[in-house]
Amino acid sequence: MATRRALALAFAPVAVTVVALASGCFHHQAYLPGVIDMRTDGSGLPAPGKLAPSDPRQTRNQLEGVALGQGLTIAGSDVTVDDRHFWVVGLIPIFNDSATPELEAALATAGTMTRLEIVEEVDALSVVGSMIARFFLPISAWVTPPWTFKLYARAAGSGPAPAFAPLPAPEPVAPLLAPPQPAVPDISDLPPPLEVQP
Amino acid sequence: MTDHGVRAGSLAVLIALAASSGCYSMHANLPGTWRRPAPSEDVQVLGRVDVTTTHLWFLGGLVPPPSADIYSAAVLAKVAAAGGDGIANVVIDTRFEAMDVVLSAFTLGIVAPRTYRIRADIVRLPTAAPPGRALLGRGRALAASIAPPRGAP
Repeated sequence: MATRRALALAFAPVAVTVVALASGCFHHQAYLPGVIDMRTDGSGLPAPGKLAPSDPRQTRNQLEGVALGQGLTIAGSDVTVDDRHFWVVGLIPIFNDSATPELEAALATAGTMTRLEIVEEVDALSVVGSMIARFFLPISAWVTPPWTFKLYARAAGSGPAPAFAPLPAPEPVAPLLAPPQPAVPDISDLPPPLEVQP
Repeated sequence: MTDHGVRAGSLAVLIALAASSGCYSMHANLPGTWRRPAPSEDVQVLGRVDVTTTHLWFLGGLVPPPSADIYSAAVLAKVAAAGGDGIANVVIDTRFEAMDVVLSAFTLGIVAPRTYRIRADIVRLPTAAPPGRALLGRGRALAASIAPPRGAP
């Protein structure tokens, strides 16, 4: 009994150390493909037409969506990437270690986007879910509460095609000097000589 | 202390620690127009931007949230200084550095620094600027408007 109590009391500092380290150490990396044109905010771009449905492989529904984030979703012109990431003791990424496939799919589907907002957080749902999981499945205490990466953007322009054309090629300029003319006309071009009447 | 008491205490510690692992809610704007360049588009790389910022969170990441321009202010300044039009190959890192972990563990999450980093290529684009409000400063926009066409000697 005493041994059990000692083990139980020793559990708290171990838990402190594990959770303190587990909430740290992690490294999340997001790669945004394509270019971000920063000359203007793109607010003058026309509203897009109806966007094609996003790649179903990059959209998660129901339980998978709750666990791993909903992936890529498009509602009207609003584009959202929602991705949850997990680490074991804050060091080893598991399940879903990159949002790059969803970001690639967003770019392929929406084409041109403005008003980019990047959100990273441990949201309340993740904390509550993690607590419940630890209660029923103690080994899940080794897994940090999921880190949620989100990207919000507004589609603009005409979909995946470039919304604004490249600069037109310069018009060919007419030469200022006319090509040199032959000084003596070709005699073959002359009219036939007149016949003299006797 | 009964077994039930120990169990309840352990659960309370876990719940408190889980709650103290916090929110760390960061919202950052990246102004501009995000798109994929056309295959024939000649995008010139002018340089590199690499900005690292450490933000100090308190109470397990509950407060205070970092500024929304945590990335954009530095990136816009560097793009304008390099004479670029935008950025490409953007990589955003968020990490808990070793010192961040030590400080967070030592203070039981009351003070929790977190490191944010953005890296990208500064690029010049051959396309016309998309319509909208200028972001790179009036002097930069004026200089671009009176500059000779690209490719001119």
